[in-house]
Amino acid sequence: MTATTLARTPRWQIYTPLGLYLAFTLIPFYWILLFALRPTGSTSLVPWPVTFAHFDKVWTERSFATFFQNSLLVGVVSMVMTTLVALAGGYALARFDFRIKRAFMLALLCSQFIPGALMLVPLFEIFAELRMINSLASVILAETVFQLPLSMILISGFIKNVPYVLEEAAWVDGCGRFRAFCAVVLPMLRPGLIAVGSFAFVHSWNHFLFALMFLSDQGKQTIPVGLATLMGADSVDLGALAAGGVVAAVPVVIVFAFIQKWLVTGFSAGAVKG
Amino acid sequence: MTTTPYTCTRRRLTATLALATALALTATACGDDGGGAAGEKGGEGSGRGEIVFWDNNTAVRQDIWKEIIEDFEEENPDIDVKYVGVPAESVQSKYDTAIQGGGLPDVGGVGAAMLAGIAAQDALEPLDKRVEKSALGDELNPAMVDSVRAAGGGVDLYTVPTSASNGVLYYRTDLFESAGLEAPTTWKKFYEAADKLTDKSNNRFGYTIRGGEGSIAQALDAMYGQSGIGDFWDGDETTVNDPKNVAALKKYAALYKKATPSADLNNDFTKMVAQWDSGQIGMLSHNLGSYQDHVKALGEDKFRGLPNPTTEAGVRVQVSNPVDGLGLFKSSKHKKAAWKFIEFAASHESNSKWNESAGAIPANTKAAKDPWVKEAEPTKLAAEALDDGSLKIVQLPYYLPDWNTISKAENEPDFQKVLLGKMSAKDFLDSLAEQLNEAQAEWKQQSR
Repeated sequence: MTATTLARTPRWQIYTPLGLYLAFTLIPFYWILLFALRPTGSTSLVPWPVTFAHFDKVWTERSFATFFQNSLLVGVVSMVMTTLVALAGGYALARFDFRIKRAFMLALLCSQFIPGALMLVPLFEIFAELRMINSLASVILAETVFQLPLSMILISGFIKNVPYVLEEAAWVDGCGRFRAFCAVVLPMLRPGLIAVGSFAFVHSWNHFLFALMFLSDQGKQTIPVGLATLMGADSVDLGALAAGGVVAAVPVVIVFAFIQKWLVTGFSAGAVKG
Repeated sequence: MTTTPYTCTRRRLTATLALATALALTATACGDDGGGAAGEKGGEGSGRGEIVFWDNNTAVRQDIWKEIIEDFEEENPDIDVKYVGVPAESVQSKYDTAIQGGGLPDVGGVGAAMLAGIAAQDALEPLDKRVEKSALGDELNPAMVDSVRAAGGGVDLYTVPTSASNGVLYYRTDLFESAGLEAPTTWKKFYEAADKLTDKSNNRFGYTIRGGEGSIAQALDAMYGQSGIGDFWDGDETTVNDPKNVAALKKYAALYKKATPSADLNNDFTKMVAQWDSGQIGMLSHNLGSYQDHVKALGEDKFRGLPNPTTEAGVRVQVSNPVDGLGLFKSSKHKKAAWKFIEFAASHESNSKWNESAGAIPANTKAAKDPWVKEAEPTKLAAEALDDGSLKIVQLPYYLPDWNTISKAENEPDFQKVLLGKMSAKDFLDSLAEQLNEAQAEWKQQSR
């Protein structure tokens, strides 16, 4: 669609589907906010009178303050580790040719088909041997390892888009490979790195299974496990559950709000050519 | 000194790396090897030290467990109990992973529905001798002891029962009164009320049916309740596809959309309870566990909870709800201390406290006589129905290792087809019966 055709399109044809989509997306969020902010027992469709009792309950009584800190630590460290290792691996895949490169890329892709649940027992045994059970490090390592393949593939795509001649020019100017990479390639990878890093953060923030299985200390659990503990087998405090949901969603919303621009640029940059 | 852009970037990178390593190292501290796996022998220990307790149904029960633990630690200052709340939905997989890989607790909450699977993996300590020597031996409800013994394979006792949460038909007294309806004490009155209370144009419905997760047990409850058949097995064949049950299920499933919201197709208990508590729905079948939620949402005056309605002949039949209990894990290195905790938690005072908070029926017979049991009407009626012999309990085969699969993943989608009219009640029950008979035959063969 050209710019002229777009300009001629009646506004309602653009805004009606957008509005419908927005309503479809936002109504569940409104519902969560409604349950989180209205008093227990209220059937009002607006959160009035507003109560913060549910937030107070999850944050103090249900230890969400601790879960939040733990999730933040897992999310940030996984993000940094994933990005750094993927950057190194992605560079090697983009710039070097080696004998098993195609097979290696295929193996990376195939690893995406292995569900985490299948690896639980072996991973548990490995971490137990390393005395890492009940430690956030086990979750961070598992998250990093599971996110690396896709992150490496994406970053190698971004690096391939950076003209090799720029690096060569830096070498001619006296830079070594690492310095040329830092000075020339890295700044151009910013959108890609933000995209990969944010996905790594959000994935680690939301991931439930590893935290549930590897951590058995209440003080080390993460937000997704904390949320699940609010749901009993036959009884559930919906207000507290909704408040917990809001607490869990806030960092993700903030991350996406800040990186939105970079995210789109990042993925489109990686998609131009492989 | 001037700094080139190259140096700046490099420094930033180095700083990031250092930060990541520092954070990772901090996080790595204080890990452990996860403790025992199934098959490990463990030991009695000195009766002191730290024991780990997994609560299989945390959420709203967390506070009362912490109170009981505090009382226990006060009475036993040499023992520390580490409480771990495990989400109810994931407890089976958490146990299974720990059984295979290690990390089992000393004591764990184990419901009858998952007992067979855990006992079959040789993870639990038989408790008969310990119970015999303990004061608990005379205090535990014999029916609940039988129920958990049966669920664990019928020979050894693998858990000390703590509570039962019987099925309840909750109904809105305000809606019934304004419609001039009698309490749904019989199935005839139930269907009449479901019909009369439905006014789809005003978003009012007579009943909410469970069409999603957990639908099979509820459907079986309604089915056996109407047919009046009191046994799950007739010899080695199940009675689920008895013609009387087929007719009952057909009638029950026909309520879907006629007297229930169409969204009920995907109802798990959370959605079902939430819409009953906040909407204009006449009746809800659930168990005693959600009683406190209804009180919080509706107040005590707007609803009542009754045991299952009776047939026209006055027969009341309900399917068994899983009895909850506490198990001692074989791999525990502190069995003496762990058993002390189990004894304490199942004692009169603690058991009463816990069940009062949960609105469930205490397994400790002394606790079952406490005044609060008579004050919470649904609990009182359920306890009375159990005690006075007017209630026939159809014992569901929790002892079958395949029971959870058969009663959930294997058949819930088919039950949705029955609700949608895409599968007949007869075909559904015939298929269910075939799976059950096969599982029973296999279990019998393995037990020999």
